[in-house]
Amino acid sequence: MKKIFALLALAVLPLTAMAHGPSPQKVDKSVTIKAEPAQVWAMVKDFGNMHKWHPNVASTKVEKKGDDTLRTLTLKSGGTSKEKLRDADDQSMKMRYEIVEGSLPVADFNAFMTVKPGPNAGETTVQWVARFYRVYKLNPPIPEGQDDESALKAATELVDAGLEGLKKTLESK
Amino acid sequence: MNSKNLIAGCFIALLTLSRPGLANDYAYITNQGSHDVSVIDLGSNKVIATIAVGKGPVGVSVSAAIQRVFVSNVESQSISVIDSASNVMLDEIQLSGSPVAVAISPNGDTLYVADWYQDSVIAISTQDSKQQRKVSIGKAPAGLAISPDGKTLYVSNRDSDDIGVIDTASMTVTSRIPVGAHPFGISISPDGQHLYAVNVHEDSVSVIGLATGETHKIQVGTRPYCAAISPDSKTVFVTNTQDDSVSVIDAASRKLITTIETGGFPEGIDFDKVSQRVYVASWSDDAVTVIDASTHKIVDTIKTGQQSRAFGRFILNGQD
Repeated sequence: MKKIFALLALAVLPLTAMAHGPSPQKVDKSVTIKAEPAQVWAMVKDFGNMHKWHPNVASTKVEKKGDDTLRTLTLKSGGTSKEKLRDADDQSMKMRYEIVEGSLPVADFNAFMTVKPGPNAGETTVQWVARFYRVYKLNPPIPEGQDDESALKAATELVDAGLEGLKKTLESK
Repeated sequence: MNSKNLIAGCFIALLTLSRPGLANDYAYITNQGSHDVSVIDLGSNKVIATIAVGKGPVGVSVSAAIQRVFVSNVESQSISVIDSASNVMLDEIQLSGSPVAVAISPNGDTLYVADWYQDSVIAISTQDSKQQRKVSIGKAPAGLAISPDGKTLYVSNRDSDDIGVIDTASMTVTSRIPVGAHPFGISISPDGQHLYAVNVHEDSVSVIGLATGETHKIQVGTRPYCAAISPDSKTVFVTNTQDDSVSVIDAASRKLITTIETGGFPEGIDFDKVSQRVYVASWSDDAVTVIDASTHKIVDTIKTGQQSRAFGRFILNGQD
């Protein structure tokens, strides 16, 4: 009898093996740029001009809603991303923002970018950290394109391309 | 700094280093991204061991009574059992659902697990993990807190915006208390008088008088997650994940005392009564921020594993 139960348990296991609520996903990337920190920070905190340095962004539209500053990015891939500035602190050279809505396959996306002196004089290190969940918040089965992998891929592409674009733009100045 | 101050400073440093009592005071920090637990020696604030556990560890609960630490592995759907005397993993209990919070009874006999896949709470015997009892609860049960006498278990039902009250002897739900939107971390004051439930989507903490049933709300920072309470039950510390800060609240007046900047995305928080310090897991910094509970100053930052969460009571005092 015990053996039968063990067999039954084994048979049931694969069905539930992937079952869990979503875990937050993380992207944490840094780049060193040959430019002064103040110059880099000026570009990073300029919330309405992301298209000037991000290769995936076609245009940026800024709007004020009460105390909130929002931007809508039109992506070269076709979609949009509506984002809210949470704060940009000149002292610590750190800016925080979140995605309000948009076409990227992520949920509850919030991120920060920090600008710090780099390893050598005249260099700057920019760090971009994002936290987010997959789109599908419930338990499996997870619809295609709404899983952890899709969310992680989209956010990684956004950050990688952005840091590369920031470096390119500032170093060609 | 003049020499007098320097000497005084060194003396204070020595005092804080030489802790009263014996060793074996540890913090067990679950690292969701590196699938391990960082064991911090609270005497030196150094990581003295890193223990591999299951996948995606989040929840943690410690028991001085049976010298065990329990860790919930969300992605491998299991509980890792660690021996706190040797800091070695002893066992992994496989579950059919997906565990979030874990809480151990004060006597160490029973481990409670919030299973947010099956919307239930499981009671597991720590003597024999096959002995399990289960009760259905609200949607997406997340946080757990147990009364000091072990008779009542509270569970935050994240997607039903309430707290389930469970009688542990019969494992039945005796009532449900409405709180704010999306309650996650919950904690009971050591005097057993109040339950604090952190409402993530409302930037508030609900305070429930457990004898009176009276409830109040306190505004805190953005997307708060967890609360820790001082041993005298007078001060409440709440992590604000999207402000990178901890709100310090006076329990009697329910007023904000101050806000302390911490590492990025602070999640789990616990109070070390021996050193009178608050330990905060920083998810985005892969670190633990250490706060002096009386001066509200950061006294240390300790590097841990990846994506530290430490959701639950993670500080073990050896002399308890």
